[in-house]
Amino acid sequence: MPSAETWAPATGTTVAGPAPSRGRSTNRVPAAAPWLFVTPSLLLFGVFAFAPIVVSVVLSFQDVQTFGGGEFVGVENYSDAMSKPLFWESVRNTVVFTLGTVPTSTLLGLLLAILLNRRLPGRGVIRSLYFLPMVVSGVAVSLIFAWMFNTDSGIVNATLSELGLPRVDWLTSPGWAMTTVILAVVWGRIGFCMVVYLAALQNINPSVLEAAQVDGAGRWGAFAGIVWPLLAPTTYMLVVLNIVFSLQAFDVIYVLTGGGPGFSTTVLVQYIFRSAFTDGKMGYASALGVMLVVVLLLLTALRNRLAKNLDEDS
Amino acid sequence: MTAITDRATPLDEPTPSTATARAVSRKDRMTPGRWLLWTLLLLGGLVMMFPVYWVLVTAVSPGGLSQDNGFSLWPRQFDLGIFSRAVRDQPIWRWLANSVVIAVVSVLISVFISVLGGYAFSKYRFRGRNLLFALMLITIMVPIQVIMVPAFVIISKLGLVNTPWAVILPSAAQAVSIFMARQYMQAIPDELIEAGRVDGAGELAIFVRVILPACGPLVAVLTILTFVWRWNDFVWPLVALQSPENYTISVGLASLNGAYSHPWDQIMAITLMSMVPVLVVFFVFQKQFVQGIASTGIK
Amino acid sequence: MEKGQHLPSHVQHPHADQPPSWSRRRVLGYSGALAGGAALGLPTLAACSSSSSGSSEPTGADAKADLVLSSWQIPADLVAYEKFATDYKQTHPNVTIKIQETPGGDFNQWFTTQLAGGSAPDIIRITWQQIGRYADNGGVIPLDEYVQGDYSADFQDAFWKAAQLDGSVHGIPQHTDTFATYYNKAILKNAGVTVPASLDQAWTLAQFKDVLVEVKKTTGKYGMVFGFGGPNTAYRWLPFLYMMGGKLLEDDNVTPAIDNEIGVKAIDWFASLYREELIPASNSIKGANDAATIKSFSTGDVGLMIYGDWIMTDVSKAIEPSKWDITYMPKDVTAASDLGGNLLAVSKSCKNPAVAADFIKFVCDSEHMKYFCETDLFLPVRKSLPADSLSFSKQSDQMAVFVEQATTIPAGMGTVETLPSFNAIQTVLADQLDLCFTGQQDAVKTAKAISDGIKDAVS
Repeated sequence: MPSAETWAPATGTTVAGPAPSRGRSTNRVPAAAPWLFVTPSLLLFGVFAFAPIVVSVVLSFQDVQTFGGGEFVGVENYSDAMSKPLFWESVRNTVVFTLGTVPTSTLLGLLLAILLNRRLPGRGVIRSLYFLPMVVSGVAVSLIFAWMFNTDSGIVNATLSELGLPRVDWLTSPGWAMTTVILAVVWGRIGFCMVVYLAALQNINPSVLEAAQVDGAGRWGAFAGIVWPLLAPTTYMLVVLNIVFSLQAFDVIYVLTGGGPGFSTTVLVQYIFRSAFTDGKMGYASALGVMLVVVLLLLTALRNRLAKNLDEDS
Repeated sequence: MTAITDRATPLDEPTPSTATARAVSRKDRMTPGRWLLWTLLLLGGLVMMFPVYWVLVTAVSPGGLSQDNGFSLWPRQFDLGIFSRAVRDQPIWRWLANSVVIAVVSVLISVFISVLGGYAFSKYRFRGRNLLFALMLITIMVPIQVIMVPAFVIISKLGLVNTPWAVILPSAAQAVSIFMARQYMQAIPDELIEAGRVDGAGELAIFVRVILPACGPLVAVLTILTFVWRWNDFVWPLVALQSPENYTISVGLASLNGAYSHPWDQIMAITLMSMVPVLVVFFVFQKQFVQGIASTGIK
Repeated sequence: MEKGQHLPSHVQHPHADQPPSWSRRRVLGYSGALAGGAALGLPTLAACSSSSSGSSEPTGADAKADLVLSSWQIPADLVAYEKFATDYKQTHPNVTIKIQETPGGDFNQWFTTQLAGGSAPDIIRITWQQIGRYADNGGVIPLDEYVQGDYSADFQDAFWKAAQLDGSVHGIPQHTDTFATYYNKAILKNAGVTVPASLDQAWTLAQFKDVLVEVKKTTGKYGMVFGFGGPNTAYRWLPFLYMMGGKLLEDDNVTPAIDNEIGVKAIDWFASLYREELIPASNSIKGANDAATIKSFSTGDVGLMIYGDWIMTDVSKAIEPSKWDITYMPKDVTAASDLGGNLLAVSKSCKNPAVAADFIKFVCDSEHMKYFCETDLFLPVRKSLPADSLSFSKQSDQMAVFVEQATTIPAGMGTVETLPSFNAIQTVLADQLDLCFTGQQDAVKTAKAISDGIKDAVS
């Protein structure tokens, strides 16, 4: 049986199933095989994930209370949404929030991973300190941050005062509220990104790095030329996941600010939530959800198209 | 059959030998610059930890810090009895047990189907593969508030409300795991699979004897992430579980934070207690964990 | 009619077999109701007799049911409900009532999802501000056939009226709560402020502001905090509108009535508290949370706190009861206070509404309402239970003030807050008032925006 070290590297691309282009194919892969592996997922997803989504899409074309019958209204929910200023405001806030959380946590995670990849005393403990926030439950996080950042009695402002710095209206000024919310979420997200990158870094051969630096590339050159490209797939996955998580962030923000002051931290999912449950308009809320998914899909498709073009160019 | 190295390596890189790479070079010595870096990292870590420390302070301060005014980083009085009071007043052990059951079963199911599904998506070409995968990604993108009601109706019709299955089954449909599994397995050399077929092994045999042994790190990764996420999940379980004796620990916590009563000290004490099992899981799987994610990101 | 005797069988009343403790007053009440109802040809009676042929659900001693009652997680209340369930079982041995907790978090999200799945609790403890909506969409069922005739006579009119939607009763009032003014004795003493001795001597709004200014000088920080607790609590501002003689909606319950001089004045007076830093900025509607509010009071950052009776226990834990006391809400043209409290309703998911309704009536009768209010510190809603007839288990002096204050709850405000569209109206209030109180919008614009938003919401 061939081992990993003896296969010929030149065989290249992934071969899935029969490869007619290769000519002699004595290996018949039963067509049913992939389906066998996928069926357990399909079953579970079908009942618990796809079915509710299909129902939601149907509801998005109806004017329906959260339970009980509804009437078909075509695309009225969609056009309604786009005519409401609060919809656009929540979209804007969501974009700002996502821009504030995704690059920050991803890059900080990367920085930490690189720094904590070296041999440092107690590095396992330090890594755990940065990972710990991910382990704390959402309820506690929101409450603690609300207390810590309270303008009058919070420990953060108290510390600033002690240090002779001016106090900040963390949660009470529209400008700072979004920053505070971003801080709270990034705090929980850094650990996740760090761990993902740490693992990715393990697969990069340090001697390759050393060789590059000996060649005169310098630390920065070695990073930019070798490490960063190798991490690209990890970065892709992290960015996608972080964007999705940020777009769905709701509980932490809601407990911290209730969407205020005013509307400054009202994000799209809060708008969906209140449409569905406070206003009781399930059809409208479903339409908002569909719009969110469509935009995400378009972004993904765009990114894939761009990546393909870049690949073709290079 | 020789197992491949237990870290799936990218096709286009020479296989590193960790032993040689770890030879202590002058790079690994602690220079003053390094000590400075270390100090900064440690301070940063402590700052990150601070909110968690504050949870502890709130838990052990009498009256949950309501008495405290003015600047004080250290609680003036300790009331460690809060932990025993919380255990006495709330069915903590019950909640923890429920959490463990739900998390463990979720992990088992989720890892099982993700490893299977990831294999199919990465190593087979079949009609509708890309569409199916895209559909699964869509399930990550839909906010839970939108599908919560239809999903609950389905659970009700299946008669699963207020049972652990109401939480386990929907959350096991976790596309993130399948995404990661697919990325990871794409790095497994196809030639191994081909070789298995040449030898006349059935598809299932190939899966069990070639693929699975290489998936240790992947399984560890999925285990930790699924466990952490299931443990802290409360939005859906709050709706799906109705009797307090069926609550998980995070639902119990969320339910304590009610509209009309807020036992803050208990809430914080229970939060601390609920963090312990997750930390244990993290520490146990940590070594594998770091190695495992590596392979999911590299094509 | 002697105790325990059956009513004439040609009139099948759901309460044909009453427990032995049935009081004479109720017997006369029911039979009088039947006679009176028959005379007036009330539709409920017609429904009753038709249900006599159709429904065969016994609700007497041989009733059989497994019901779930869900209440907020106030530990003392859950204990009380358990007791009631056990007591009821004495006379209804085949009826088991399980007491469950309504989980924290958003009530609407939880309740509507449960209703959609058909697994909502049979009996739900629900607030005034939420019942209108669920009455309208069928989430809680009408109880008319179980509460005929004189049943309502002993309930205070404003509350019984508020429990109805289009004349149909959807919940039975169990208790009310209201706001009053907590004050820190030492701080007020140092500020040279004396509290009003009676309800008619309550501070006017102008006097109240002066008090706040003095208190602020003493604390060096702020004067008061207010009982806002997130976006769902904006309605707690409404008493200030009503005490100035204003109202939120006209009598048709559709046309907004706030975009006028009084409305603007009411909004602006409250906003001025923020402007003049008499109340902390973090105590705005959306950003407030209970912990911070109580903490401000207990640590002496403020001298006054306008909040409800239900947090007295939490306050006592944070600051010793000897250091604080309760006085009346300020007033203006008239007095007003918050409409708090709960009703017990039967949800759509209930398979045995007759027994559920019967248990609710059991819990809401005089004896049990008295017990509940005295033990758990709530305010009764029956005429036969005035303030001096109650002896509260603790803090009785303070509770007496709340009971008196509860008589100032404006009936018109109660009607508005129980409208089906009130959730949507409340959202408008929360949005606009929060903008105003955080200084982003002036009172004139706010009044207009609220008016426009309400028109949108009720259409």
